[in-house]
Amino acid sequence: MGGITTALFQALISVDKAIATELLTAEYSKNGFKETGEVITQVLEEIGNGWEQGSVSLAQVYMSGIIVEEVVKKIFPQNEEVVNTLPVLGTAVFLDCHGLGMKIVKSLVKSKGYPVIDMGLGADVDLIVETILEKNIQILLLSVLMLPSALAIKGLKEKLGSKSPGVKLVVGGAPFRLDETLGTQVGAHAYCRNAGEIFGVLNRLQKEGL
Amino acid sequence: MITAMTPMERVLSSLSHREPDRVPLFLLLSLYGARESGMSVEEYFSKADNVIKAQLQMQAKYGTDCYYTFFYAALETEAWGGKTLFVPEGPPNSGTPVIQKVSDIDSLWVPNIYEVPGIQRVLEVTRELASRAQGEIPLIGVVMSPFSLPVMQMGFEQYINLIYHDKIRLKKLMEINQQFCLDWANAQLKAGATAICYFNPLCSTDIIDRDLYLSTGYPVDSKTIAGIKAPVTAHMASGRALPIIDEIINSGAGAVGVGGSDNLTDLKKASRGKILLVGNLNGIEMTGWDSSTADKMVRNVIEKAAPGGGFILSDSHGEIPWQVPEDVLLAISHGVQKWGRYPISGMGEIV
Repeated sequence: MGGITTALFQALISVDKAIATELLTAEYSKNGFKETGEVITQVLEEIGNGWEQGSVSLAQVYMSGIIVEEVVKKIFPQNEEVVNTLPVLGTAVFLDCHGLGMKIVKSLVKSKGYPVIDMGLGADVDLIVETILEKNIQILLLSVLMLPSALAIKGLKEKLGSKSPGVKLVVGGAPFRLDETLGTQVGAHAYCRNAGEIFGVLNRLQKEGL
Repeated sequence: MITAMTPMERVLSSLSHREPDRVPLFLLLSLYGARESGMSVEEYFSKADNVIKAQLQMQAKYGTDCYYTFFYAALETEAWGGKTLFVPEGPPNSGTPVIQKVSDIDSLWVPNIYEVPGIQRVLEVTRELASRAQGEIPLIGVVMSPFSLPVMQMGFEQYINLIYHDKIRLKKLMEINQQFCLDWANAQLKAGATAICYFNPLCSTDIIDRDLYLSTGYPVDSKTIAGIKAPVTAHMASGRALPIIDEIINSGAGAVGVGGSDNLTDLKKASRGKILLVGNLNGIEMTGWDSSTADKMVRNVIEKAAPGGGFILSDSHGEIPWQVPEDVLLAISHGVQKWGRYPISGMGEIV
């Protein structure tokens, strides 16, 4: 990292919204939507990696996501061309009621312009399958806190297989961090160890074809 | 050869940083008692007798060196009228936060613990197990740190915003929670608990950065731990402890429950003679272990953390998941008998 990315990283982990706004506004005026989006992606990935390595806290990851979402909403015009090429994401906290992780992920993907259909906290199999069919969701992002909820994803995956087999499933949350084999066990297409990994995972899934 | 000790002697010796006969084992079996009793989690925790019977049976069956009187974390929010959501084969969750908006803190109160039915059941379990233990088996009671409890009281997002943006209400909430925590911890000690496990995942640098913690939660935790009239284990509930180990030591805690991502060798160096380590088998991975893997994991952890004493083998989260096979728990118990006899000179030994 260097220049703008280093400065933005520092502003975000210091929870300094004013500096972050100033930096992103200047970057957007100078280099436009695409380049600014790349800077944001790079910095948020770096913050996610920092959490992984223990140098950044979850509170800083959360506040960074919130700040970026707010600033982007303020300075970026709605870019229809970009939005129309991105897949529709569905987000849900599956069976559990702890939404912090998914809130962070939502902030990040919204800052990149992805259309998001949020199914909220405690979403169950029926609600998720119904919403996917109704809203044409292409990639489902699921977060859980408890082990039984993580294990129950297998049942959801089976139901998705019969109702909407094309949907890609991405999982995240504490049980998946503590046991890296769990994502495969429940049949997910990908799992994120931290919120910053979401961009890499979405790029990969889009390249593989939806 | 050291003469065989009682679980209490073994644990006290470890707490004093001396080598006991073997490494103490704390299998923190809470809701696992429901599985052993063939009951749902909700039914199991609805009667003190269920928990008493299961704790006695599980201590004998698995050779664990403590009774664990913990029910579930959401029990504390029941003191403010919060609802607990029971799920099959998993730990109960706290329901709708009792603090809906930050201004609710202005009228929050310190609940009378003796008016909370769930808390009374824990105290009943504690009294009966203390009477059965006859001073030979330690009883571990549990409280949530005043600094970590708000995650359940008001939700994680709202609490993080409070920490960053509303120091006045944060202070008021800490004062209320601290009084509640002290009442609750000392009531358990009065009922016969030997030590208190002080769950505090928020203090881990995984959750909050060190400087912010030192200026907000740390003074609260230090003062609270000082007010608990027994040894306290500061438990990270899977979070990293190493980056703040010196502060945990200075807070007055006698032991620390460490996370799976902590480097045990480094922690052993930092803690030797200063604070007892409790940990750090991975409870989630444990659900997929077989007996041979369990034996290997036990040996690995013991070799890193047990030399010289000051160590209790346990899981890293503070609760064994329902899904862990019985055979794996028995293998852990056998493993500690096999690899945990002192003197131990493992790879973690410091010359």
